[in-house]
Amino acid sequence: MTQPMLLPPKKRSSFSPVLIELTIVILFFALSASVITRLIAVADNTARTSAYESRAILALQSVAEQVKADPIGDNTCNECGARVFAIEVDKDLTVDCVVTSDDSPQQGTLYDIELTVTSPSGKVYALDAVRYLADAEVAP
Amino acid sequence: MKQYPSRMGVGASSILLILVVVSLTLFAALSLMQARADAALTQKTAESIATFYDADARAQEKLAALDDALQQGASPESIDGVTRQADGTLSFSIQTQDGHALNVRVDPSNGKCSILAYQYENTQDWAGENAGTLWQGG
Repeated sequence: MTQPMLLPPKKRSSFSPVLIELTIVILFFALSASVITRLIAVADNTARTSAYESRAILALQSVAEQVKADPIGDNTCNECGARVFAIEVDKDLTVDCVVTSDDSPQQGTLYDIELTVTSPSGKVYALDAVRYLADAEVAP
Repeated sequence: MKQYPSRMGVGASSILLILVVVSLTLFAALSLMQARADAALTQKTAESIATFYDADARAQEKLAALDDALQQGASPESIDGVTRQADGTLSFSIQTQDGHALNVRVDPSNGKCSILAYQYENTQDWAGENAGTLWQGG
């Protein structure tokens, strides 16, 4: 009979491989998540800006056509001879209009229509339009 | 107390992490690409609309000049770009930088310009682009 060899008790490591791996995985995930979150935030900001710009362009175009159809309007001009008014298209979207008339044509008037939209972030979108109205023409 | 061995081996969490990170990165990159494409399209639309209203403004100024010429008894053809058609109508075209033209035709018979046509048209031939990536069948 052989005597079982007496071995020293196996020393258990305080850090198991799974624990070390989990630590590394959590650290790497935190790093990746911060980068990805920043990427998604940039995408969201770009999408919101572009959506607002799209709405602003549509509103500018719509108001431009309205003003071109009737550039005289209620004919209330300020001391500079310009008709200044604002049209609220949406809660966060207001189109500011300045209509100035140019009487240099002999048979009518050229109306210069300047439209601007200022976004909540301060960016300004502008559109200029011109309408010629002959003297005999009556706006619809 | 009996201890059960862990069923999760070394590497399982790494594989899971790789899958999650790759998926999140893919979604983030796709959303960024989509947002940038939308922004580019909006910018293009804005430029197109600004170009149209610029052409429209020049056309309106030309109509005013035409009316002035008619009132003064001057020849309307003396205005740059205005041509008289066979039926007596006057026409002119306003070219834009993006390959469009605003074609206007007016009737000067009663001493003032009456607009007969006011058309914003494409002047460039459409050329289809084929990157050769589509499956042609067979």
